[in-house]
Amino acid sequence: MRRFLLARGAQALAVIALVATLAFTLVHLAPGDPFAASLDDPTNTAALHAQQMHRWGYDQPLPVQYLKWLGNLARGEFGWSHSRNRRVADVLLETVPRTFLLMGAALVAGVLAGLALGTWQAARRGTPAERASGTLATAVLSVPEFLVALAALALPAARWHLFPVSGIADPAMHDSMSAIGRAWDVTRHLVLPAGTLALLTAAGVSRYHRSAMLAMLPEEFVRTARAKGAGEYTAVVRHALRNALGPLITIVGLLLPTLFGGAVFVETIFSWPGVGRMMVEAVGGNDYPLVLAGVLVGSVLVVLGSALADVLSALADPRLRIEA
Amino acid sequence: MRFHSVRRGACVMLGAAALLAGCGGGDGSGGGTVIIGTGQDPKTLFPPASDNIQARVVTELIFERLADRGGSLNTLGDAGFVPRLAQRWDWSADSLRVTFHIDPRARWQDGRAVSAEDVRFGFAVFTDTIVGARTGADLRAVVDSISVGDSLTCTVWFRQRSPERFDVLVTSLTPLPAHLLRAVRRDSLALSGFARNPVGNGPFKLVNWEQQVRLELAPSPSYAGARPALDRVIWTFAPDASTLVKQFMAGESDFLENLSVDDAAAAARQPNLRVIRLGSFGYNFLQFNLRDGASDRPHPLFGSRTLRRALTMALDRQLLVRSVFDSLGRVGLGPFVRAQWSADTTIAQIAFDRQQAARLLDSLGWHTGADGIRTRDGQPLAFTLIVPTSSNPRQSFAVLIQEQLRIAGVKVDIERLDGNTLVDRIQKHAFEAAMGGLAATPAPSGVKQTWTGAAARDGGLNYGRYENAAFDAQVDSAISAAAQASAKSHYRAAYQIIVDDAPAIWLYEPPTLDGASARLQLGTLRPDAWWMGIPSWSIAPGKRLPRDAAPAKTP
Repeated sequence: MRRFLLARGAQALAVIALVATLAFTLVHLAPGDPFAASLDDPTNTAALHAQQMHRWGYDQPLPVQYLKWLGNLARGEFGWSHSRNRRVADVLLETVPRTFLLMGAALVAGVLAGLALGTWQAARRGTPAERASGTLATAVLSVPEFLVALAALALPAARWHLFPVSGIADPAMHDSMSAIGRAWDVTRHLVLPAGTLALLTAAGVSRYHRSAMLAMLPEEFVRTARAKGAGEYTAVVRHALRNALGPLITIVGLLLPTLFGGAVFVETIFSWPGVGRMMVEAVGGNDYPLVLAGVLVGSVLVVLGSALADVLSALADPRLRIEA
Repeated sequence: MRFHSVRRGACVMLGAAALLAGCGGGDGSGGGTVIIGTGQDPKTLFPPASDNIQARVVTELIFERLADRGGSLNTLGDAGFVPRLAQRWDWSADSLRVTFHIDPRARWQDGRAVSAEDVRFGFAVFTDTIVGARTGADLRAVVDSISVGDSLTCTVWFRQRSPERFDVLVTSLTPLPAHLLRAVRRDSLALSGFARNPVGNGPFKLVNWEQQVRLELAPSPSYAGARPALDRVIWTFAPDASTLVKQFMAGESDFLENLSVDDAAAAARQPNLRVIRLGSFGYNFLQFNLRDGASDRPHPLFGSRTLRRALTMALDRQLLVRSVFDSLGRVGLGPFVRAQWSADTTIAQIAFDRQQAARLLDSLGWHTGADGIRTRDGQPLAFTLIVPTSSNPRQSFAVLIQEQLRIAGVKVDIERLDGNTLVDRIQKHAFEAAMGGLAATPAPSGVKQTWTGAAARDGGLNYGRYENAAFDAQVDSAISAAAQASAKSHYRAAYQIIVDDAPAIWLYEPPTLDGASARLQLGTLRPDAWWMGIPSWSIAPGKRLPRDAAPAKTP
């Protein structure tokens, strides 16, 4: 197991290093720079622009900039965000927890809903209701995240006023609320963005889980349970469902990168102040240090998710440990 | 002023606690809360480093300058300017010096009196190249130095008698608290804590700023002028324009800038909302690159003045503007906006005349081929027009222009580019034609930085590299004319030259449409700086919401 963890750790570091290098190169090769303002700003003179570029070292050769960036990174310094005028680490300390809150809520709600739906579909296989729900889940999966988000914004928020349109808290009232009131306020703001991501997660999980359940239901142990007088609920939920959860470990691990990708759109549309929205704004402003920090966070998340899935799968199935 | 004194007197009666909370009432029952939706955060609240509009809006409410433009938006001399931090000013006989008398009641938000030394210190910071202030170059060009007489008197020494020197001085310089910033290294000022948590001297103070979330201002108890009527002004930030509009329509925000025509129409249909139309300070155009790419050779098509004029003639600009903005847009008249004092709506335009355009193109040897596209020596009359994907109106104009020019036998390929790529291409002159736009200020002299020969070189903003010595001379004469009548006459001559030369097709002044909740009482909004009216905004007593009673967070 120790060798397995070391191998996975080394692999993860290699992936992160590769992603960071690629991101650094691409970000610097893209048109524009952190101090190139709009075309209609006469106050941003060429001299001022050159001065800023020199001050921050962006006029140095790319390999030199890369080595400096790596050196800073090794010391735990992510650099200075030009678009926010503060340390990138401080920006991350603010935004990462918000994205984790969003993704965590979406993951829990999405997986639970997907499990319930997949189980129910397997138990009701072949019925019109099962077929309709399967078609609906496939339809949801085929719709891009931002369209689902826009629909959620247009109807429950803007038209029916069930939930706030955007943001993480009421801008005027939040500070004057009690602790419970503040928690409820954040929850209300969380419903639509997390719900959007959860809906997509649930649709995906339900398709996987339905297949896993269909493979379990004809198994002998389920038949035996039924023969021993277990009811349908007990046979499906206590026996088949428990054994069908194995493949889900891998899927949940692999859902993290998908969720992170979805968070970029959802956070932008719902103005959720997390890493995804930060990335979009940083890319638009060519804020190199912030973009690179966001890419690093994303790649760590992906690698962690993948590694977590591997480790949990290996714990669940000793044969995988030997292969690794 | 009389009313203001009475109010301040009443505050004293209420005692120290009420003073701290402001006259609006510490329980928040007074002035209420206004929420303004906007797309982006300020980058910084350090005035010399304020380089985006949001930073300007907030810093101009936290910091007060010596004087400000008045409602006439005059920029020549000091006519119409209104006192702010300075109670009055006196000119020397040779008009190369102006002495400002600072309001003795003026205080920084930490309680220290504002002094003449703060003005001198502000000037030193703004003009220090290591600070990199956007307005530093303008200030250096106009002002030689600032000397301090006594604690409340300072004298500004101008380099020359340029007619806009007073405007440049008071709009480019913000006095800064020397007692707080003198010890900070100049190259670190913009990165210091002050840039996120400033101590100003204006009508509002910063209460709270959570990036990406919100920024809150409250009336400053130490402000010398009239207390703002509102208890709180909160900006919320949403990067997606449609989210901002939905927020506004749902009543989650009270004010939203720059509505599209469609959104303005939707807002106007809601009884609880209203749409305010301000004078535009932007103009948009189809810009020709007069040189062949980045080289100095004339462009094979747009190097010809006759061809540029023919293309202008082939476009029905009135129809284009009506198609995109309905009745709300205005056809562009040249490199200026109607809201500037130099504007002249009688400039002779190149009128829409498709037949005359055809004759001109024929005379240049461009004859219509079998496919309807004109050719000369086997080469089609075709060019590529680059358009930013970030601007819906510009994309719409590009498509309509493509169709109108097709009728004239000109093939236009539209290339849609993201903002950064477009900027990069234009700055490198790697384009044939571009859908361009410029933000103007009330000072018409900005035309020198955008359309003259000097601006075509050394990284200037004249990306199409139009050059005409007669135009440059008229602009220079206009800028140096002291009397408005004389300046207007030179500007008129300059505008006529550039319109005749057609280095661009002047398309439109976009409508500036702001949305406001009907519960707000706004007064008159200044078209170049609507936010300067916020201190006088109020909420109708019968239209209060629960959020109006919520107290401000303690800073």
